[in-house]
Amino acid sequence: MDRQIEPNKNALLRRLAPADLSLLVPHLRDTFLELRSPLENAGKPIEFVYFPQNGLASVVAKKRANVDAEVGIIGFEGMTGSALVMGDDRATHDCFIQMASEALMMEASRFEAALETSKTLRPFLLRYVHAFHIQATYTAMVNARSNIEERLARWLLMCDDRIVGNRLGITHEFLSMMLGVRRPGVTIALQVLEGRGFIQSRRGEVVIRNREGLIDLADGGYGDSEAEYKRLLGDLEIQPQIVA
Amino acid sequence: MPLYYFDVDDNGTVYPDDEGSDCDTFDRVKEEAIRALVEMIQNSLPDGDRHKLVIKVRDDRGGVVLQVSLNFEVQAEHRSHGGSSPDSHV
Repeated sequence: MDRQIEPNKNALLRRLAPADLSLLVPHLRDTFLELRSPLENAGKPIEFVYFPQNGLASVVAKKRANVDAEVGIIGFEGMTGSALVMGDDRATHDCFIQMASEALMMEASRFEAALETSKTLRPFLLRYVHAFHIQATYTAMVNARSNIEERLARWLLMCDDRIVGNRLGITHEFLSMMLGVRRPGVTIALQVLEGRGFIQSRRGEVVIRNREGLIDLADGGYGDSEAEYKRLLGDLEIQPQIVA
Repeated sequence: MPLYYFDVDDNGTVYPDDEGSDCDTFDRVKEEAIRALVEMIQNSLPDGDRHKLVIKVRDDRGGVVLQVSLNFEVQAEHRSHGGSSPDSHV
């Protein structure tokens, strides 16, 4: 009768205590989220919590129409709905799908009920929320102190950590929004990274060729936040890399 | 919306734009080009006493419809600073 869900494909669900997982499982269901699917809307109550199994969601802060910047990345290592874990019921920023994603989802009210029922679920998820905030603090740092190429390198690495394989389906237009940089700046940064053999950039696609090179280039922007995730939650197992 | 291509010439190295951007008005094209130029020069300076950055915008028929350039130049005073290099801060 009921379809088999696969909680193990999400790093948080995989690490939950069995009793906590069994509180959530009856309410979890599979979903496929297409590019740009909205998961949370700024200022609105959070309706669902998503645990991605693959793909990517972005939290994007908007200054005004068409002036926005990405402030958080969520993949199989995380979840949406951090605000619920901290006792709030609404989203501060928009959150939407940036690369198509299979995810497990549940109603926010069911999720809140589980947080109230268990003594261990919230403390565990708070460690993730903390890791997610640490990611945002590094984003703040690189946005203030790193140049476009360094920021692009960091961003590509963060995406590469979360996707299967090494091909990112991404347009320059989208990168420009994610990095808060105008299009020509993105075009050049991509070509500079390509010139150094770190990536291959094609129309609508970036292929990662040299992670070590990108990490060096990111100049401290990448790595510390990832190490903090590992300290708080355990190894961030990088998705299998299929080298083309 | 019409597509515009923002090709960049950074000190003689040309970076062609093969993807293009939507811009609804020509004023918007101009604003994008100017703001992009300022953003990019901020990213590359200081890197020496001379820098020339040009953005040429093509429309989808291939013609150049706008060119925006920035010439950066530092001129040191002919005065000795006890061997230190000229100040090239902007």
